[in-house]
Amino acid sequence: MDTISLWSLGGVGLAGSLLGSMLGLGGGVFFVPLLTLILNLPIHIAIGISLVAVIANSITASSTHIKAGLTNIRLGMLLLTATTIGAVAGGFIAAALASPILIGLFGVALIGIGYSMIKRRRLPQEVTASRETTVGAGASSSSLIGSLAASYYDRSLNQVVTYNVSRVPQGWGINLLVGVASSLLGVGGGIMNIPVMNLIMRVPIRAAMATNSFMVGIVALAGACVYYYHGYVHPITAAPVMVGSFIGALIGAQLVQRARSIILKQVFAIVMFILAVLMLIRAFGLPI
Amino acid sequence: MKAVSDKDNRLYKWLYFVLRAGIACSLCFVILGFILFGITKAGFAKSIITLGILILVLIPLSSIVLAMVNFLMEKDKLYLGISIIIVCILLVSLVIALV
Repeated sequence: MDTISLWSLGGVGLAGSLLGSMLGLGGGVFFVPLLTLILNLPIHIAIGISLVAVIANSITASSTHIKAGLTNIRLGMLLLTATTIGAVAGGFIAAALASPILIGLFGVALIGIGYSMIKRRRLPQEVTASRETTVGAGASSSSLIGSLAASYYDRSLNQVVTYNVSRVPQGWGINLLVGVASSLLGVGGGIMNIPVMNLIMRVPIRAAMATNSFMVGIVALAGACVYYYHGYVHPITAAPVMVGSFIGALIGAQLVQRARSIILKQVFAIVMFILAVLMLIRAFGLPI
Repeated sequence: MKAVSDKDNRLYKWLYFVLRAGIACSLCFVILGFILFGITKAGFAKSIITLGILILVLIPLSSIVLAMVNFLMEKDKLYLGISIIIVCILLVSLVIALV
């Protein structure tokens, strides 16, 4: 709090969260590069701070989804047994990695996320609007893990959508990796987990987004603990980012309806590519 | 329109309450801490901020404990077991962090 301005930390929290929520993501993807590139914080500390801010973001978003009855708690809990183990492992892997390698990994991940945003021409809501009505009939859930079938009221369709969950073992396995990536990079993991739930496990996109937001806070907590153990989480530094992130999420939720356009997504993808290049330059030790 | 069962509805209501009350409580402590630090520059203000962050990290754990109690009351052994596994992983992480 003495060396870095309180306001700049709060500003990073607000900007990251605002940008993230306009894209339907948490702020984690933006917190780490902004903290690293603008405030010159070491990458491990930036990730530790990001995980704390991600917890705050996730709680805010997930409470809204839970109130709307969109969250599949049982599915979230089942996947969390994999994701939390992955997150703890990811924290220890990150601590063992040298800063330039971690910065480089983040740069590569940003390129991947940016590419997936450009490639995905249609918005998630549009992609699955037609699928939601049919998902209940054909899909099956394994009896071994009990019934994961759930239903929710979809306002846009004006009907109750009932669905089953498919390919649970595959989804569980991938969630181990999602947990590792989440903790390694300080992001919530929604960018990976929502497509996994939606495309592989056949969960409707609204339920997948809601279930993911419920999971993210718990995954980030598991990862943040390992970072704290290694001395990378400073509560006093994380607090202003968390407050800024909370305010950004509130404003972002209001803007999101107007902001979701393909062009905007592509603009943000370009921003991600620029951040990625800057991160890679930093990883190779070049001055920027 | 009703899409969630009565049993789950109770869990959803409690989860909503815990998440909202928790985040409000955490923010209050953090903001109060910053205001006090701005006025007094005293060390105890930093402790209040840290307490706010501690409350924040306990919210996700509370939500899993809440689900665990719910599954216990529902006698849903499978998901009770799953809840216990997650609580154990989180508690081990917290112990690693704090001890």
